[in-house]
Amino acid sequence: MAAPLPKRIIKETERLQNEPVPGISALPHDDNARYFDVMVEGPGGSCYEGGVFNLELFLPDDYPMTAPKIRFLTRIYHPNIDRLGRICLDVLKNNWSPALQIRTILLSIQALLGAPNPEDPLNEAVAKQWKENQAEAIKTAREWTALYATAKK
Amino acid sequence: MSGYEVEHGIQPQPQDQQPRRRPDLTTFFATLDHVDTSGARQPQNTHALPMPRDISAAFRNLANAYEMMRSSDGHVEPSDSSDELLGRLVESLMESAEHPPPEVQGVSDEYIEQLERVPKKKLRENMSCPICGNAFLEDSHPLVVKLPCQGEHAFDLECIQPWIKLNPTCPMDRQQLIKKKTVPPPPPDEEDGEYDEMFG
Ligand SMILES: [Zn+2]
Ligand SMILES: [Zn+2]
Repeated sequence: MAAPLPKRIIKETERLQNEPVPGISALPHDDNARYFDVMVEGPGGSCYEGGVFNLELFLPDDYPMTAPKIRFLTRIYHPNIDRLGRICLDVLKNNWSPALQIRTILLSIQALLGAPNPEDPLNEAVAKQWKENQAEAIKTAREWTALYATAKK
Repeated sequence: MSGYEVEHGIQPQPQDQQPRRRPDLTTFFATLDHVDTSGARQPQNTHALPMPRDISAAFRNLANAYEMMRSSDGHVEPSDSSDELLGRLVESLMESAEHPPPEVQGVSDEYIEQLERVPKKKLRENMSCPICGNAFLEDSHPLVVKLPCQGEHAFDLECIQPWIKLNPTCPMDRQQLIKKKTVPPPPPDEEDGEYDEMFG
């Protein structure tokens, strides 16, 4: 019924399972191989350390000509991620290239957690707080991480 | 069908449930056809841009396709998150249909025709296409082109074509392949957030 998957998606999925990236997992749904449940651990040393963040990732019909669609499901206090979990990341927009892959995108997202950029904000309120009182912003980010992103067993 | 089968005088193989070499881009090309203004496709009146309603129609078509994917999914549970996701995609496509971009950047068909071909005998077992990830030689009739970038990166013609029709850059090194077209300044509303933006 559904159109067969392009080989590239099959290969990428296999590689994600066989050579997983530390701190990152991406599992396709049984009934939709283009839809992934993603888990990203907050990088060590960042205010998201210890957090486990759930995201959803969808490969559009014309992937890899267009970037994967991805967003956070877990609430997170971050200047480049808005209330709906949408992510401001160049490689998901103008800097997408079909040579990039799911794993490279997820690594970029993990790196974004380690390096919030309030100069290119998606979440104005958080970015403002980040610039005006960084210590307070980082404290809030830690609190949210403890509150929303602790792993459910 | 695309130039590949025509070029080699072969019929497309029935593909059943075999994995395809590349994504299905029928929708994409149908969409692009209406809004492509590159090269010989340039309208007589050089100031003429694609009708915003055609660009809108392209987005709307894709929205309809996603909408069909939703309902064809068979079981629709209230908690079906992929259905919910598609719903949001449809919503954002419809949003783009209402605020279409002014013009499509990209190379002309003529540009694609003159790209340097890589003959089969120069292809090695370990060389693969960076877009679909398949070894060039896995294809019995490989049609491989080299881009005029520093790295002379090679791709299946059918894989690279849709990309450079929209974005005139090498996917590997992002080198610009042609000079940018001058585009009229964007409309004043800076509400970038609305464009395709259910997802970052
Ligand atoms: Zn290819
Ligand atoms: Zn290149």
